[in-house]
Amino acid sequence: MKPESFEAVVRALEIGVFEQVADGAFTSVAPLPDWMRAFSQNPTFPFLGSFLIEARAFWAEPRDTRLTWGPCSEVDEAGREFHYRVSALSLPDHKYLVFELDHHAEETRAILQKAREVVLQRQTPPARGLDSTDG
Amino acid sequence: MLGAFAVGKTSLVSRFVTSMFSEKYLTTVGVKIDKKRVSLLRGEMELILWDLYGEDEFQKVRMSYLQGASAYLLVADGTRKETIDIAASLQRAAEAEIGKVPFVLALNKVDLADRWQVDMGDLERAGEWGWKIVRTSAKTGEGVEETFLILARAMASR
Repeated sequence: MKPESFEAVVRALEIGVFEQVADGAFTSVAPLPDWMRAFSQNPTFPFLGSFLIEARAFWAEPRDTRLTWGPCSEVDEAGREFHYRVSALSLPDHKYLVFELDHHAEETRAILQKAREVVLQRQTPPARGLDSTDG
Repeated sequence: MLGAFAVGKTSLVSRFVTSMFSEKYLTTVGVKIDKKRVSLLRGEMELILWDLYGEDEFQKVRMSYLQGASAYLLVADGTRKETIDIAASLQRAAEAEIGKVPFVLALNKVDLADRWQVDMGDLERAGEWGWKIVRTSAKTGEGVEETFLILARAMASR
């Protein structure tokens, strides 16, 4: 694939693709999508915490080509929350991290929200002094 | 941030990071990542806060998320006694995963004193285990800054 074609595909998918370089830092291999501007500019991605620990173990002994975590969420400069997933890819002689938006996270949240609100209503006692149906 | 669902983990982070609070409960999906720089006697420290989804019958917390954590904040809801047991269970699981690192139990929602279900016996039991306990309210801000600073100082002194 020509480099410009690769970049066009990455841009269309709105994904961020980074390759781990020799010093443990990551460098982007294609222009970053707008939604990744909210991210830390530290090239070692310290905010990924345990994901990176698991990714290093995965790259050392890959049992598959891809390992994925998430969803994660952050808030952009405008205060909007967005969800994303992070994948470690193990390809011959290359270690990649791929960031992609998770468009299904809100659906998952809506289901969990409804379920938990029901449980919460059952667990939480009413305030004293308020009318109560069970007297 | 570890605890049962709807104990106020996200609200505590929001109060600490942005000084904001919302009455509306919005469940967390996955991991919410925030950052906050704090000033300590020996200099500044940047905290990277991992607010993990709440533990319940629908989702179990993936303990491997704790790998690399320097400390953790257990959160329980003073108006729901069962959340203390979940905090205790999570603490045991966390220690099994990452060993002994500093932690604090935030007994949240102290502003709802008229609905408080946690009795002193529960608190004394947790105290006997050597837990540091702080009563907090994400709504009023009571105890919130103090709780995170206790953790930051404990991390700095290690």
